Amino acid sequence: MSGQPDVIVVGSGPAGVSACFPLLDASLGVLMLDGGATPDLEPPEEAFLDWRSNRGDQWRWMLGADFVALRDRGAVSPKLRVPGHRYVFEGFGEANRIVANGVAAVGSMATGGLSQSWGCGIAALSEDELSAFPCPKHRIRDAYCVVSRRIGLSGATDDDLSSYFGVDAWAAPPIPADELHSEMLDRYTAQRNLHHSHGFRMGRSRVAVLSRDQGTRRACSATGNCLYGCRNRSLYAATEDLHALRRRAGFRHEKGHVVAIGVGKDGDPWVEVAAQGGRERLRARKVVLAAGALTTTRLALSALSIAGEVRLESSPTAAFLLWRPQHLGRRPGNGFGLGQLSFVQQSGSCRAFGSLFSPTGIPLSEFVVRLPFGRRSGIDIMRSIMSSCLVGNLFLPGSMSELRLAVSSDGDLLVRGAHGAAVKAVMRELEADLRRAFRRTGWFLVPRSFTLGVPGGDLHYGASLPMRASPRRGETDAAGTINGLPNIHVADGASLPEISEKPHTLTIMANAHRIGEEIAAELTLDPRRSLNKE
Amino acid sequence: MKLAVTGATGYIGQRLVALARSEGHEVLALTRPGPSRPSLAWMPFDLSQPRCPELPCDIDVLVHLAAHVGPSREAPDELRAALALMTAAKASGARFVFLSSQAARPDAPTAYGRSKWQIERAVEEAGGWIIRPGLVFGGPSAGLWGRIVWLVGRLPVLPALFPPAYVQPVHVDDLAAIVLRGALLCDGITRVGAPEPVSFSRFLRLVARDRVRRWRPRFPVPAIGIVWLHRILGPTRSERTGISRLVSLIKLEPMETWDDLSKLGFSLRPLDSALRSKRRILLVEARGLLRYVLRDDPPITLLRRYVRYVERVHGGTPLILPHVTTLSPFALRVYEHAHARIDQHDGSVRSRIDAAMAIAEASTAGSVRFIAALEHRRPFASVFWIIRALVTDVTARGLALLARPWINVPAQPEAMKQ
Repeated sequence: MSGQPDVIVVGSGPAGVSACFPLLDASLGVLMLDGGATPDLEPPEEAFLDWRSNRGDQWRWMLGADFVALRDRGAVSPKLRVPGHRYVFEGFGEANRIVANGVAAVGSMATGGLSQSWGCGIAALSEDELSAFPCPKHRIRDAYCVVSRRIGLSGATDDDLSSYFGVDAWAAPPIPADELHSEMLDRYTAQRNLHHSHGFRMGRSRVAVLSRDQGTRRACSATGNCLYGCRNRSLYAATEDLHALRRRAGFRHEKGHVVAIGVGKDGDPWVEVAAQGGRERLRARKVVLAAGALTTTRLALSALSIAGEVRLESSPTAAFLLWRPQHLGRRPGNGFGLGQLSFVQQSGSCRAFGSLFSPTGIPLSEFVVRLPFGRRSGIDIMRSIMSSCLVGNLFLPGSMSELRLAVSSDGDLLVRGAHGAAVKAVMRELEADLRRAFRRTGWFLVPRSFTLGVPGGDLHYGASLPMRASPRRGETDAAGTINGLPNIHVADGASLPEISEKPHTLTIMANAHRIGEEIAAELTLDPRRSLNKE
Repeated sequence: MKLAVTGATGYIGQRLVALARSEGHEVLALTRPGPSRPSLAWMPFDLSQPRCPELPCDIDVLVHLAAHVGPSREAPDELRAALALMTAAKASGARFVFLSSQAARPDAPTAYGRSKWQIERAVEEAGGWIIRPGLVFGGPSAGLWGRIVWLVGRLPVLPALFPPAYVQPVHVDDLAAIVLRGALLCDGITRVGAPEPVSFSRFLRLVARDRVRRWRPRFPVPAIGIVWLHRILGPTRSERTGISRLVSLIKLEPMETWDDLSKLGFSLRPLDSALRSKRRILLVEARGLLRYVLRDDPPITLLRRYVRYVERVHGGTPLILPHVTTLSPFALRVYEHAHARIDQHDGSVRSRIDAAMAIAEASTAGSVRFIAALEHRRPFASVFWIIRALVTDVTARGLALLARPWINVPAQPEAMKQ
């Protein structure tokens, strides 16, 4: 493709790639720009427990060259320390001039974005939840279908969470659960009515992980390497879609850090790219922002010269440890390392969602440092109970968060926030509710293990440029167009009208796909046809 | 700062000159003709010719280290030499620093000690600064230190005096640093040496272990025997063989050095690591911490990896652990708890142990220790481990609480600061 592209897509994560397919289907020319960071560590060859027992160089995956995993011990989530994922998070704060105050403001400069290091949790919004979108609901439903089939989902089964996840029609059967999870689900099912009366429901996790081979990607073979790199490519990452996009005519992918956006006098949008040497302005008929809510919002606020604070949503999150004494002494085995069971707990008017997963793949040190014991005893204790434990996480609706974004006069993105009293109160209640719920299935919630995450620590940022039927300045319309910046569309989490407690990646992708379709329809109706028609 | 130094070519002098120049000070050596280093500025001066040297007027400090080391019969009049130096210093407006000795007493058994005492009184009157070091050790083998190293190398056994004789050692580089630190500020008498006296036999053992790197069995020698030997040999032969120095050692009065060191704000390097290279110190730390978390002797690759971690991430600064904690895991437990309670801000002990733990885990040895046995284990074994771990931890915590008044969290020694 030569000459000016029809559409510039900023960001190569799940939103960016999803927006591209409809554009290319309509024979439009697309230029995708991203931070371009790529992995610097191959995934391990053997299964997790095998390379831990046998490889002398396992430090490469657990400590990293130059001991990167030991340097920043502040981050709560272990995945931010895994050397193999370093490239996903590195350099984001500096490149986007983020100044965070008591908040985790994490993003990615990698090709594929944050989907290169995620838990693969997915869900579709219910009819009710879709009411918040200013577009016809069936457009998003159709998009869910297209995206789900393309990326490959698993977990479809007839259980109490089928309607909650809402994806079973497009998903393959679940990856086999290990004995701990299977037993828990059986025990739950035997008492399901009792659980329902307490507002607790449980089922298999629906995840963007293959349980059947698809194309060149293979089904999960339970190597337990989820945190260190999956050789099977069972886990969905946006780079998988990028392989497919690169084979399409009219698609170009270049490394370029977009530092500013704007609209010319003629109504044509431009992006400013920082390249070696200086800055370059690229023009197109449309610009799609899919760089992640933080970056996208920064670009928009700067272009609109909005000096005040803007609300950002993210799901307050917590983590906890479950233990079943009957499983003490159990032999640990390789297994699927991401969510196997999920649960929903109603707490007053608010609903919390969470998943459970096996801790085998997580370094024991991550747990020992949280114990109030000396390390030698901590290791003795933790190693004894680890194989009879499960780790759980929990998410609350983003509407309960209190995060604010603002662009300073120097061009920094200031992010601040704290958990409100309401969040803390709800979390306390949830801890009690979950303790009772899991007790009913025979599991103890380990005392003092329930830990509230840092605001923003879920990385589910969104709704900072929300789409509304009648958008005001700083909001977006049904096609994601920013009010005040014509022909610039927001396709990532920033344009979602709200962040629920459900995992939001699939919804972002469906919305981005729909926006791509809208843009394609608009451009192909336009008398100024694309130069590239193949 | 511009210093004039007598005895610049001697044991202590060489280290002082090296340190001063590395810190950017100018040094003028007052020495007998023929300087040891061509790049060193020098002026002729001889203890036996008490001519008052004419010092340049920009000299800030005159440090008098030179002392007679031969037989006392041939000793020059050191007092006259010192007075001449003091006059020269006054003439050029320089401060005067005199290196005395722990042995300085009016009734000292050696002429050396008596002579030092006399000079001290003159210096005091003139308002100069007197430093009384204990046993100076470390660095290149020279002077009395060189003689001790040589002896430990040659003797098949290490004498263990009974009743034990005590010394208060100070590393020559620490002494040099102290001289530079206080040169423009201090006056009066400053006593420098290990605040807690160390038995001479223990000192010799450390020399054997860390400097000579040979193991020597200890041989009890009655202190009385040395004194008789000294009397039998007579003063000349006794001086030549060094017995007289040994005798003066036995009869040394302990010095109170804690206050003087605190006033200077200087922390001496601990004896256990003083004669070791930084790498060895780090290896000892590595072995102590890794054994603590692994419950087993760590393989060499892990030791090296830990050392590399400290070098890369902490600039090679070692943790100064009490010696007992590198030997006994239980002692390290107590220390770990004590440290967590004493100083919430200084997480260095905790963070090093956590780093050792992560490094240990990322290894095949670690997979055995951190992942429960990959064969099915009886549940009771697990329960036993858990209970044992809890009981030991609570005990260690309790001891840490009780021992709190005694646990002296040492300040980082100057030598280890980067």
